[in-house]
Amino acid sequence: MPFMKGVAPIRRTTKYLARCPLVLKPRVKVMTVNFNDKGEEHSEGVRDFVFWNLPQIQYKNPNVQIVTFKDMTPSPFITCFMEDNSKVYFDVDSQTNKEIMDRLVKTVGKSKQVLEEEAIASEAKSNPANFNRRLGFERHCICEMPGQVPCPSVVPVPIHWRGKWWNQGHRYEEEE
Amino acid sequence: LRSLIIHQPRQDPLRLQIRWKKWGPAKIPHKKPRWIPMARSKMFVDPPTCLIAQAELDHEKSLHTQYEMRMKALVQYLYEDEAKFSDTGEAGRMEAEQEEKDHIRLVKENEEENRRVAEMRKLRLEQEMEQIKINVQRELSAKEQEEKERIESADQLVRREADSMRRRILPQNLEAAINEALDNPLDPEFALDRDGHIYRGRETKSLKIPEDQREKLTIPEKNQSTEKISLE
Repeated sequence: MPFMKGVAPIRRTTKYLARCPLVLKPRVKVMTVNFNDKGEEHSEGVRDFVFWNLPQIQYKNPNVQIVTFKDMTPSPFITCFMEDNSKVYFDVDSQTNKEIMDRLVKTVGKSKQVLEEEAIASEAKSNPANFNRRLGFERHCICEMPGQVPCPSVVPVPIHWRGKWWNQGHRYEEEE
Repeated sequence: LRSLIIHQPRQDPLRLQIRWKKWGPAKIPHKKPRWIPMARSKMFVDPPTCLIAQAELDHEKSLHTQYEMRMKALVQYLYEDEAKFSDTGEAGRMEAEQEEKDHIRLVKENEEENRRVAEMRKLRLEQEMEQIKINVQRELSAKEQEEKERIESADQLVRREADSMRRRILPQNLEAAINEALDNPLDPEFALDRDGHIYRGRETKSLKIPEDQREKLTIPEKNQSTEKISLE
C-alpha cells in the first residue's frame, strides 16, 4: 500500500471503499451520527461504524452530507433526513457496526437487485455516435466522414477559421 | 396511437358552412346581397387546373407520406419509451408509488427495532444502577469498618500508654525496681535452626535439647475480624 498515512490506511484504498453494501436511496439527503467518544461500551459499535464504515458510505454516496456529533447525548443514534423533510431515527445503543450497517441497508439503502440492475444499465451502452477507435468505437474522428471538413493534418484549414488568427486580432485588420 | 397535439381553433358546434367576415371591421352592408345571383361573366368558369406534372405531385405526396409515417413511428416510439422507462411515465409512477409504500413499511419496522433496542437499554441501565448501589453500599460499610478499627487501635494505644504510665518507676520505688530487675534478668538472645526451631537463652546449647522439647517457630494466626481481603 503506497502512502500508508493515518491509523488504518486500508480505509483509503479504493478496493476497500468500493466494497460498501450501503448505497442510500435518492430520497436521503443528510445523515448524522451521534455517538460518544471514549470508554462507554454501548457506544463501541457506533465508534467502529464511524471509523471503519463511514468512509465507505461517503465514497458510495458523494452527494449525501454526513455529519458526526461526539459526546452530546448519553446514548448513540443515527438520523437520516429525507427530501420531504421527514426524519428516520436509528437507535443503535449496544449494537455492533455490522448490525448497524445491515439495518441501514435494509431501511434506507437500495436493495441488491436494484444495484445489480443499475450496474447492468450503466455498462457502456455502445453508442455508435461516439468517436475514439482506441476505446472501441468505429470512427476515430469526424474528419473521416464524407462531407465534413478534412483532417487539418492532411489539408490545412483556411487561416481565417483558426482560433489563432481570430484571437491574435487579425480579424480587425483591413483586408489587402 | 398518439397523434401530435395540433392546436385548432374552436369549431362551430353546428358545423354549418357560414360565410361571414372572419376578421377586421364588419362591412355593413356587404358588397353584394346574398340573394343576387353570381355575375354572368363569372358563372360556368372552369376551375383553375394545376399545371404541375402529375408525376411530381405524386412524388411529393409519397415523400409527405413517408415523412408522416416516420414521424408517427418516432413519436410512438418515444411515447412508449417515456411510459416504460422514464421516471414520469406510467411505469415510473407506479414504481414511485410502490417505493413509497415500501418506505413506509420499512420505517415502521425500524420503529419497532428502535423500541426493542430502547427496552434493552432500559434493562442495561437498571442493571448498572443496581451495580452502582451495591458498590456504594460496599464502600460505605468498608469506610465504617475502617473507622471502627481506627478508633479501636487508638483506644488500645491509649490503654497501653495509660498502663505503662501506671507502672512507671517513681523515685521512692527506684531501689525496689532495681532489685527486681537484677533478680529477673532478661535474656533476649535466641538461635534458629533450619527446621524452624528456636532456642532461647544465651547459655542454651541447641544440640543438648532433646527433639521433643524443641520449640517450633510458627507464624502467628491472624484474627478473622482483622482480615481485609474480600473473596468476591
